[in-house]
Amino acid sequence: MAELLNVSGLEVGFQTDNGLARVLDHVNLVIGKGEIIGLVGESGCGKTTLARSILGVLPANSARISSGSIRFDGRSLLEENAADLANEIRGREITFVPQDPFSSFNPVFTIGDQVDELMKWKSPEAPLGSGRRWYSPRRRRNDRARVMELLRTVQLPDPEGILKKYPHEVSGGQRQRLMIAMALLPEPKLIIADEPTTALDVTIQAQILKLLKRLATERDVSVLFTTHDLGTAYEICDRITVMYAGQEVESAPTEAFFAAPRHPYTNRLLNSLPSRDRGITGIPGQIPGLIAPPAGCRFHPRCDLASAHCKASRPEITEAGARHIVRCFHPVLAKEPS
Amino acid sequence: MAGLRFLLRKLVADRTAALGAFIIMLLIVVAIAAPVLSTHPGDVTEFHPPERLLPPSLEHFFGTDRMGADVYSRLLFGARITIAIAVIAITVSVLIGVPVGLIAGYYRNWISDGLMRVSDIFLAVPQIVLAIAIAQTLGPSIENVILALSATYWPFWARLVYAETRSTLNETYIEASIALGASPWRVMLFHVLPNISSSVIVRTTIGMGGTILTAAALGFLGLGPPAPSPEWGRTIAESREFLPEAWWYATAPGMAIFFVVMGFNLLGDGLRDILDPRTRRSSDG
Amino acid sequence: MTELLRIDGLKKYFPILNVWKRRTGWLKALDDVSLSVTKGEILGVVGESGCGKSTLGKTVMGIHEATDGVITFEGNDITHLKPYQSRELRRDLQYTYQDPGASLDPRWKIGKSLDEPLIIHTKLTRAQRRERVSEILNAVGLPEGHLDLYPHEISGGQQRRVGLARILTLHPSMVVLDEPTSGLDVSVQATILNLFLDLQKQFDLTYIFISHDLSVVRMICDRVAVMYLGKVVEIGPTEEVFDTPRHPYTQSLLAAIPQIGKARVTETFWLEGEPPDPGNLPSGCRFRTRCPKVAGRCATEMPELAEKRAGHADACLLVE
Repeated sequence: MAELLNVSGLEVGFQTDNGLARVLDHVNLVIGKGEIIGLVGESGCGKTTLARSILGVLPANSARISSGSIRFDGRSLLEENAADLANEIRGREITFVPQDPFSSFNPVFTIGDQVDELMKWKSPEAPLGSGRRWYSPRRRRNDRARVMELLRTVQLPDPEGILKKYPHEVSGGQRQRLMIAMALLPEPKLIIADEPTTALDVTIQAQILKLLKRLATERDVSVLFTTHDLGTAYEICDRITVMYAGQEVESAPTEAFFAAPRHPYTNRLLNSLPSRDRGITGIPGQIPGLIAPPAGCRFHPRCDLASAHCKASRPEITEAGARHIVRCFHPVLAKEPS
Repeated sequence: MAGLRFLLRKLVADRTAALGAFIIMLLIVVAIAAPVLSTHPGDVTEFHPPERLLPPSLEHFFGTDRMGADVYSRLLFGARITIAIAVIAITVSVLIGVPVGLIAGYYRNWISDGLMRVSDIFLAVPQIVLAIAIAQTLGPSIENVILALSATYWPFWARLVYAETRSTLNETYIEASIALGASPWRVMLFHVLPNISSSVIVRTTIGMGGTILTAAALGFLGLGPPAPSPEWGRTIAESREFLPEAWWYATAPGMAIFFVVMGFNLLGDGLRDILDPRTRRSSDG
Repeated sequence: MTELLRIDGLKKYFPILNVWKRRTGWLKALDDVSLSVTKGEILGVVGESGCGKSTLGKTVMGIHEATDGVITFEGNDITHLKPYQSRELRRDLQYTYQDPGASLDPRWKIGKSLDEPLIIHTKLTRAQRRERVSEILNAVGLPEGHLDLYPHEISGGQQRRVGLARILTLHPSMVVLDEPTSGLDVSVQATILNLFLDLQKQFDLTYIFISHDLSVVRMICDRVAVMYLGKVVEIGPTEEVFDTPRHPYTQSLLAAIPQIGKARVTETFWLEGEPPDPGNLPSGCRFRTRCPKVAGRCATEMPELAEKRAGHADACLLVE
């Protein structure tokens, strides 16, 4: 599979009142063309920061990228001119589906106005470059047709009517469909979806996941899908990367990931999902602070398998199978899929 | 007390607020130490006509006025009047406005409506006009200025507290307390009041500046304390006929009013940022 | 098996107002809901947003006043209590909030918040209160040191523990848990669920467990009620409802949950469309606009909740 995005050795720190929080610590991530990658982890693990680093929307006053590289489709996102990237990559090649579709719309304009504004700048026909620009009636007509077609594709009832509405007049599920449509309109190569179904009801979630998976596959768009829910990751991802306290700890193709998880944290995470056969087992202890994280392996204070070695030195990424990597000195043995 | 230290530390970090606090502190010190700091303490009541309208000098820092009294010394004693008027008027306004706003905000019945309509009536009359009417009817004196200011200022606190109470009542922790069985007075005093206190403090600080301005205006119009009071507004009124020759005469009290009002406004704006509860740390509590 | 709480024909209508504050209709958040809770059991109430499950909890608690119907708690009618009477009732019937962080006064230290229910309801001395608070703190697994912290300084899981501790200080007999695990990470959620179960045994509690998370409900509830647009559409023992759901809505709700290792929902899910506007409900069965099995009479007849098997009732005209 051809590589689309390659994040390598990325380190991001946030300046806080109490010191520098190392939110991303030497993170690597590869996304292939047309691949749906699940970025799974609990709150504070750094998944949203990673997604924002790729989008280039880290808060400028507090966040600092101290090392690493992000390469996207042959371009270096950390080194190139920020204005060029904003114009040529962001919102065009890489688009975004937010967790909360409501606050992503401006409440005082109709949805149609906001879609028009997006198309004016980012439609596939829009010329590159910034500054004042004439939006030709011909292009506007083409864009309108494109919008209509896509709104039908995301199964919005009454697409003409919905463009005349204000954001608060449509339901949460429909807003998320709109967001997906708007993310697809510029014909991007990568969509970053940040917990896109967390705010939705379970039947709506199922519909949205189904839609996202179908469209991504049909249009050969890669998706970086962050979630805290292993179940939704199972639903739509080709490959899953688990993050813990600012590091990726395991990454594997979905089937292998659930059949034979190797990292102790992944195992405990899977075991803490409610299940009737197994009872409930949580993970003792708490997620470590990122200002002074534990030395050595960041998971060692909560790990049953931790040895003196884990406390002293930092595990590096090791191969654990086909396209399966794990950051652990004592990976759990692969069990036969039952 | 540790909370106070925290407040001071934040205040020092915020330069403009610190400047405001410094000006206000200076005003208080000056008012208290007026007899010591003034060069001619007797000039509040004594006159020296031969020395009238002398320009600023080492003997008279801000010159002398039409009666030959030292403008600098009168200015210091004027600060006392200003502080007394502002503090008492604001205290009375807060004592009336806050309970009215709390009760009107907490309950949703005819009492609430009644209280708010009354405050609306007070708000509908231009404040200075109402103050003039009261001061005019009762005659010029410090007490009547305070009465006029209190009567016209309390609806601002009632309105503010009413709105803040209404929005605080929507908070889950208020509902949780009520669900726990807390009585209305308990909710009002222990939950609502502490949570709206920062906006009340900010409003009060900024309101101080406004009150001083209105008090000076009443003094200027001759409705304040009668002559020979060194009240700032009255002093400016007296100096009018000697402008522009005796520029120091009007400038001194004018600048004093300007700086004091600015001081309160700067401090109020600074407190608004500092008093956000979510930025507070337990180590300070 | 004594009945602790009984709800009969409970209705809660909210007026829908236009810009002139004139009523243009009713939002039927609860429409003729009847159920009972036995002492010592955990009753799960599930459904999607807008189905009325939170309104049910809040109406039982007296936070909302019932439009119609009767709520009986420990044999007493508690539907329309005067404020002072309902304050007394709070000792026995308690409610935990969806967002425990927001249910704690941000300006109060944890210790003060835990003390408040005891000050309101008991005449204990300061030392006795202190003792009771530390006993409860121990039960919910929080260190003493937390008493001196502010709510925003502790994690979401700990806030939830504080929320529980706060209501348990009064030793209630029944607790309404409103979305008690939403917003928690799975590893924390598991420990909190275990805590609920431990506390239930330790304090002899009865729970109404309101949640949108069906896998959690399945784990810990004895019985479960499924709600859709203000109505209970199915109620029965948890095992039965999950293994052999009868109402088409329950079936689709269960089919929407991702299950690791099983067939993917993205490939199998069939339900289309979204719930109708709760202010403008369809005639007859409320689920008929989305129901894959809809028949002609669904539009004209209103299905009633009927016990078609022992202890297992549903409200579907097509289920025998």
